[in-house]
Amino acid sequence: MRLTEATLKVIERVFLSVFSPGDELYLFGSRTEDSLKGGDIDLLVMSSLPATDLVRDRSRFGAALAKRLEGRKIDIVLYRTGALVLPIHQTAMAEGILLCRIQRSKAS
Amino acid sequence: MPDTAFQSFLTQAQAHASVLAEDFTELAPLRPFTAASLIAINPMTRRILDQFNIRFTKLQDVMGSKIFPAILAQLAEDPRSMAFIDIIERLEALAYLPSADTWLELRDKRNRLAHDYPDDPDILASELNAALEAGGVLLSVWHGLEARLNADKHFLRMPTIPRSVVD
Repeated sequence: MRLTEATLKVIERVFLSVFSPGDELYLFGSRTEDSLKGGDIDLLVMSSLPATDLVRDRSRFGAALAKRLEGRKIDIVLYRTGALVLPIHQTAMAEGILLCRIQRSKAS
Repeated sequence: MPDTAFQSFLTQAQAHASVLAEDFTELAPLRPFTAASLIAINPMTRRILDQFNIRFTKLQDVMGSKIFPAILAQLAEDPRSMAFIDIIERLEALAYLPSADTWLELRDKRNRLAHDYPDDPDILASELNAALEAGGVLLSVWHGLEARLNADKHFLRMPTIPRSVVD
């Protein structure tokens, strides 16, 4: 995986502050390959939230990452549990490295 | 920078904002879009949506990459030595922008409009609704900036463009 420790920490921290319990964040694409250079940072968010909430959260996530990782090109693909699986989802899930999963609380 | 260049950026922004506002008004009765209504969309609506996307992108671009740095340059600051986030935070501090974070979300929306993101139909519909809402926010940020520039002695008076001249 070709992300610096610092970049990884930023991505995880922002993810945790924006998304919800049960949501997962994966890295896929060229940054998973140690032998390659450069490239966009491709992220997949898996969530069971409704589409409107996910769209809102992706926008906040994207904006916050742009602020903290200036100049880095970041693509965020969304997969909603139970929704239509697109080729990009299959690729992402096949290659994806899990970066972060937000714990569901144990409250009943 | 020559005043004519700055004036030209403002004139471009006014033209984009004017058409964006028309599109926004025409699309209002169709909101909110759903996966179903998007599939059944008629060609005229499709054209207005495409125009909305283009004008949103162009207004956002001329403001962010031309007008914002030009304002700081007019105030004898050096935008070329500043990271973009610093430029917009400075404009927020000087009250030309209500919020740097809002501008970053508008830029995120603009980037999303420029890509054909692979998304499921419900997300596509939600993205469209969010983009329309963002169009309203962008227009409000533009009008706020226009008013501030008009009131500020550093800047030229804004020309008003008769609506019939808008392309």
